[in-house]
Amino acid sequence: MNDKIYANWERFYKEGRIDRRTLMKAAMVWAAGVGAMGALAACGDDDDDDDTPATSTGGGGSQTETPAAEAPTEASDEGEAEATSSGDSGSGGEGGTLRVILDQSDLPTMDPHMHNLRTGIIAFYHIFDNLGVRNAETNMIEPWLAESWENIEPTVWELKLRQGIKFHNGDDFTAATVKFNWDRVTNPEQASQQIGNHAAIAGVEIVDDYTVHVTTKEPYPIFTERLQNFQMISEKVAEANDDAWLAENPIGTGPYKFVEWKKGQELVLTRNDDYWNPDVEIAYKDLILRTVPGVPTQLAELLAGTADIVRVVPFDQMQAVDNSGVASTKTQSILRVGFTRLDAMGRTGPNPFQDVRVRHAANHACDIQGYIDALQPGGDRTPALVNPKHFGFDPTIEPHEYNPDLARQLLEEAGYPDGIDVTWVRGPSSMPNQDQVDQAMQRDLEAVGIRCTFETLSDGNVFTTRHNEGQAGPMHSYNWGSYSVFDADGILWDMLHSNEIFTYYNNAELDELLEQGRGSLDPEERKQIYSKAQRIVRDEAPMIFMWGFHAVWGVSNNVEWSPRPDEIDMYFTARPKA
Amino acid sequence: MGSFIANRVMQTVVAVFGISVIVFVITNMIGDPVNVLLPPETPREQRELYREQMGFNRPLVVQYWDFLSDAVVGDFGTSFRAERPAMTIVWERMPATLLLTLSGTILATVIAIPMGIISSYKRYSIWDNLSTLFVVAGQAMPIFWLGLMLIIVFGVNLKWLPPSGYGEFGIDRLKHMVLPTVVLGVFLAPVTERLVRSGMLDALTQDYIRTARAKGLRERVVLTRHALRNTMIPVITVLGLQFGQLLGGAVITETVFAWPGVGLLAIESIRNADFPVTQAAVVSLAIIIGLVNLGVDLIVGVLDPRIRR
Repeated sequence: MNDKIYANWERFYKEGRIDRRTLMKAAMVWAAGVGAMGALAACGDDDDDDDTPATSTGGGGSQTETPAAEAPTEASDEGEAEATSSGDSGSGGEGGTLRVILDQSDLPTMDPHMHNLRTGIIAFYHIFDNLGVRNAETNMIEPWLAESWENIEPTVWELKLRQGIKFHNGDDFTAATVKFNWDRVTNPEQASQQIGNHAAIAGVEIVDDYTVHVTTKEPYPIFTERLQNFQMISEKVAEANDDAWLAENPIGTGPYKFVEWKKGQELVLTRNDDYWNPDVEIAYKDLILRTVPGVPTQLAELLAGTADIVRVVPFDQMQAVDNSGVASTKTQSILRVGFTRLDAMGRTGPNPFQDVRVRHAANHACDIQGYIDALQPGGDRTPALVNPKHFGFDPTIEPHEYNPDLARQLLEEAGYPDGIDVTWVRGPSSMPNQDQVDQAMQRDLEAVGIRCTFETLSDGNVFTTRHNEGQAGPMHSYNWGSYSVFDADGILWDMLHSNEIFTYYNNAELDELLEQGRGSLDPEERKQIYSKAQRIVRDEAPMIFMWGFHAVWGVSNNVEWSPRPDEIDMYFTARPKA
Repeated sequence: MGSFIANRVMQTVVAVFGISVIVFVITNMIGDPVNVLLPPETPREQRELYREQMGFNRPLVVQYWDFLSDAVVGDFGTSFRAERPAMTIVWERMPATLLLTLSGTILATVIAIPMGIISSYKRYSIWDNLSTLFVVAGQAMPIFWLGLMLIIVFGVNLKWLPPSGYGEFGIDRLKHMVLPTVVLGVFLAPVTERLVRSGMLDALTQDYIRTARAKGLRERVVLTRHALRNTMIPVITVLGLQFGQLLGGAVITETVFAWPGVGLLAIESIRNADFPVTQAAVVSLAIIIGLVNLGVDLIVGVLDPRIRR
């Protein structure tokens, strides 16, 4: 696969879309990837032909010692067991240990309401439970701690709760728990970073021990989205202890119980043998969620067999992982959408992108499909910003065609026969190969007369501050994960409604449609509203539309596990490969 | 001696104060922490409320005064994220950093001094050339690259050592220490080796060495007690200065080896806009570097009575 990538780069160079230096850089990265793989494989002695396609890269063979690859779990236990801090690795009579590298930095707290990190949400899905959980197949929210829900009035939702569920300390989960949790996150005094997620909630009323009525400020079509990523703590524990204690001692109802938090190192959990949900079969007795700051080190841990799952595999290292015989990559399309924003509103000051023809010219200038093929581990076109995974996505909208001649013509019509010069502000990014994509795009834009100068900010906070304060150039790279809300509202509102601090676009007609979409509870009606909204967005092109990301995980060949489209990893579904 | 110590302590205090000012200004220049601390969807009024609760809405001068008056008594405030005192968080991580820095310094000294002595005594021999090769290689290799190479060879391929992490107290910890210690040692040893070599070359031509030999002292005694002792004065001073560099190097080493020290914490806190932790970490490291250099000055004073006067 990497060969194909390199060939594509070479093609880009021949077509004059990247310069020689970029090509050399690409070649070096490519060679380093192959070389590292060769080095990694050099010590392997047994020749087990795995099913990865053969390549002509001559990287020293594609095998590492993998007697364990197809064998039962116990097989991974040789030599490396003593190298792990956990002692036993991926095996053991009682189900063994699953070792996951969760993130590059440690969690700040064990209190599930006092953070806004995806990795926190993931970790706490294991210790705590949510009222609802997304079905990874349908993308719909399904009952979990709540047994069912019903919209009994436009602004009132009735939740029926599951009975007989106990916290790890024996406390009962009841309607009082649910009320307490919602009251806690929405209480401004609590200063929970999640308060914004629940801004639409007006209050919770206990009907009986296992029924609550949740009132929303307005009709709230995405209410069920709020039932997930919101973890229930015991009200009795919270009332008996202060926040500082809760920040260190998590007690939930979840599939794993808290054992120890070694700060800066790892979170150790052990199976909750009395877990209430019979559908969840927890194969691993112990779960270790580690912090390893460097991505190369994370990969080394995976290939050394001392970690079972890593959450990020750089695109150029996929081949090294797949050929290792120790682990494989898993690619999954996710909700996050990347785009290059054009300041249509003039928020950064008067600029050429205020003319819609220039924005279309920029869209026609870029070979989006070409970038996806060459530089991405997959990608779903987003012709009007909305990801195919969002509810309300309109598949009939055509993406901009790659047509440099049309782009030049549009630019000329807009009164720029000699082209334009603009600044393109870039921050640190979660997109794979962001630099290469931006450079390819820069060349394509320059080819039609849109000459961009990069202003690259290496600090995320500096970029975010400038972005939010409307100072991110007339053009900047951005991506949006919709806060795991699988609804067109989750991206169109935040990115394009004129009231939002993120918007660089202002259109009263679109604002009205988005407000209608938010106010309606009828799915069919909402689909039509968002279809109209997407047509406006496509025709107005307030950004260069790119794609929905694909993310790449690395998973040990001893472990059977799949990532999810919402990136909420559920490690309790992992099992040893038979 | 008393006034010498008092003088050096005063200098350290002034330096640490200056650093606290710089770190406060720089962290506040990074940007509005609310952008990072709250989810983007947070409504405006709640952002304002949060800003008020955290005290971000006060004028910067007022914030600085509060910071300073608390910092004087060692209180750097509460972490924006972890709801615990920033200083506590930093000092939880300090043992890991000091352990690594000390082991790195010791390894560097153990490599550098014998190597320096041999290459000066057997000048232009194969040993001298080999040590020059080591020095050039050690200086030329970036720390993170060497770290990754060691991980690939000893962690991934040979599986002799754990690729990264801190391990449990005991043998496990020692195993985890080997690779990062080697990296820091290789980083620090070359400069020390060069100093020892040139110092020894210089000393060996001095009259007192000829005298010592003329007295019939054994060559080992001439080298260690007479030549080396005089060579050690600049070496120790540089080791003290290098200790600071090593703490800086530990930021990279800790990142590569997932070593849960202060360097790693500082990086995390910068990424997370957790200003109190960044400030506490930087000032703590500054104090330690100041103390080490104070200690170095005292040791040099003992070795060389001329300096005390």
